[in-house]
Amino acid sequence: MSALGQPLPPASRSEFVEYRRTGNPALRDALVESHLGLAEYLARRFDRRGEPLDDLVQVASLALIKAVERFDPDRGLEFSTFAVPTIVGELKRHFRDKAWSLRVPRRLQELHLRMAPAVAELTHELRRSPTIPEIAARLEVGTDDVVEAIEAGRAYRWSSLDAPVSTGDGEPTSALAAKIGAVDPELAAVEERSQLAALLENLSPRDRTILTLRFYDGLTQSQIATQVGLSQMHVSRLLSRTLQRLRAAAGPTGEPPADI
Amino acid sequence: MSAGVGPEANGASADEDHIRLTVPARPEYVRLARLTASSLAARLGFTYDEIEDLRLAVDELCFLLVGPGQGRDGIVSLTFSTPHDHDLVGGPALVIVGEGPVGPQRPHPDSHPQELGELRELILTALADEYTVSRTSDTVQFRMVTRRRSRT
Repeated sequence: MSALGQPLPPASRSEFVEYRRTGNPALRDALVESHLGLAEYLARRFDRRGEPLDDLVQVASLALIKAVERFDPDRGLEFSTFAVPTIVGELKRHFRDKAWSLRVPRRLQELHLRMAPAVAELTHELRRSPTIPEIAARLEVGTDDVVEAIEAGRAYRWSSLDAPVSTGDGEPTSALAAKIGAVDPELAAVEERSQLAALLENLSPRDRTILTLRFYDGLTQSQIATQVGLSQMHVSRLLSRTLQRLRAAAGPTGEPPADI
Repeated sequence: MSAGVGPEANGASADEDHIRLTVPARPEYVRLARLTASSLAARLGFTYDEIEDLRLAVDELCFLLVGPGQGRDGIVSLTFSTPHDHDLVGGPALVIVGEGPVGPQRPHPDSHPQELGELRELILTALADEYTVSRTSDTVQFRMVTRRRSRT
């Protein structure tokens, strides 16, 4: 690890053992938080290559969460030895997937969203990572569907939900991620953004356009109505329906999204 | 996408299954390599985590063959095999052998070939049970073995 030239956070082996044993989410969050510097450090290694640093930090942080959840201290590795490849691999894949413009069928995107909570549940129940047939059985789909849904997850375009938005109603300027109701400011937001990015992809082009105009470009509902040729009422309905879906999907971690 | 993979790939057959994939050396086709590898690994009983690791490793090795950006001229050949006569110690294994064109000699101005080489090595060492990479004047080859871990 010295090749990476960065002192790593102090070893917290006993905490990892404890987390592995109890699965305590608070402990997980603490472990993730104490290594966020590592994620950010690695993200910065990929800065100025055409992707916003914020997005890179987000990708790296998600990979860090995954690494904390999967790290098995009994295998004798340092956490950093385990985490660095995972994080760097995800960062590199983030760049590469930009080259891929294939659209993933909606069916697979939806299955991918259902899969994450199922994997989390099964991991908890079995106390190990589930096999593909186990995931397929839980989701009542075929194993090939699961394999394809794993791949479908890579088609996410990471939307910058940190872009400032103005509500136009005198409310303070805020980020879309905050608007959609992230509770735990750091980690919850990061996790939800990944789901949201996927969900945004799932929206119809019209819904996505309206959402973008409203929260990214800061247009008022009337301005949007003019632009897309609908009534302001209709825009309002579409917006609230869309946000409802987003909120439902961004519910507490580990719970399946309500309506997909 | 699982053409060539019969039900006998489930491990019942004594024969070794071979799946060959020949694709243009472009990034958009690496997805097919990941899918094929995941599909075979799923049949071998790999766990979700093992498959995630495998996919990262396949990515690393395949991008060695297709290069960054728009890819390279030429084709990449990949052979996936699932040897059934695995030794009892190792557990079910997936072997992937790939060959593709070498890239242009001059690296991209923004890239840090040294550093990425180091990182690639780090990634592969952590994710693959065995791997080798070799070069001739006009091709790059790799061979990787990933094994299903025993479950407790």
